[in-house]
Amino acid sequence: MVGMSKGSAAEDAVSELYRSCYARLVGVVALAAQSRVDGEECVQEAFLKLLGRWDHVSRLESPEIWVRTVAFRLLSNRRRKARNAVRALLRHGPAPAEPEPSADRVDVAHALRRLSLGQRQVVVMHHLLGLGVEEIAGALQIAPGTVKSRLSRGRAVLAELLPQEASHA
Amino acid sequence: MPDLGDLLASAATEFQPVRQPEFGQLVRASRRRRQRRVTGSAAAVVVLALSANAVTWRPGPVPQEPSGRVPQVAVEVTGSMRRIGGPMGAAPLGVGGTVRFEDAGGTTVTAEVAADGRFTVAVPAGRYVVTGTPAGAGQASCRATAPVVVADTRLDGIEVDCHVR
Repeated sequence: MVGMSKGSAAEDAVSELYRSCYARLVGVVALAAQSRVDGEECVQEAFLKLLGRWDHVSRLESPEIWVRTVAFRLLSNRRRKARNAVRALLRHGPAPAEPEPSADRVDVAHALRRLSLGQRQVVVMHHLLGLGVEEIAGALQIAPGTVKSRLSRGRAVLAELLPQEASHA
Repeated sequence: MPDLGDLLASAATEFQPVRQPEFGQLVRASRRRRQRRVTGSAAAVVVLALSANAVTWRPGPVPQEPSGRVPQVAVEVTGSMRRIGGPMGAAPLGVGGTVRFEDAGGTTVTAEVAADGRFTVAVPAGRYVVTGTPAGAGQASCRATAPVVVADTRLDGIEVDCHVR
């Protein structure tokens, strides 16, 4: 059966890629999400999507980047849906209090929580993954100007928080 | 400000999971979810179809009676045909002959009247004009004072009077 062997070969290839870069991808996406659970779910879903598009993605320079991009988009989508649901819920009650970042230790994750998801995404993609503005704009399907403004605001917030926290370390 | 890239790399490493599920497990779980969705959708379609049917269902056409005249159960009617009048002080006297029940559609039922004037006739329920012909008389000259309404139970005491001058 040609179809079965083809499908099986794709599953083997995706499985190999999954073994080699799953943890790394989850770390990056979870950092942007500020949630390991969200990071794992988005990356897993991205790998499952990859299985159905392996014919196309296998010809790209880096299938790992494709998975990462899809996972970031999935994160945006699920946060948008969750945000809408929460907004609907909050119409009937007070907004939950956001916990202040801990000043006891250097914790960039806490500092990142002061940013919006969109700002965290561009900060992580730019400062951790080394992507340029155009690349981020293409990956997140937003305007380059939006990337620049999010980066600027994100860096401004982090600049206020991180030196202070670093001094506590 | 510390090097942001280093801080982010360190934080991302902390977010990395210690264990990861086998890819095959993910695929199987995904297929099970898809199967459940398909089954759920199919069940929903069935439920919707049944609901729609329940809303729009109408009883089938009422079975029609066979065309033509439907035989009805005859009801027994009894009474008496009497001669009234004649010489001063004469009492009503039963007379023999025939009685005739005629409904609005022109259907008639005729019965014999005994010599003592009593008769028994079986007619379907309905409204009848009742007339009588005394034995030996050439034409009907006897009748009930009012139309007789026969219901679905036995009816007694019908009086058909023949007035004699």
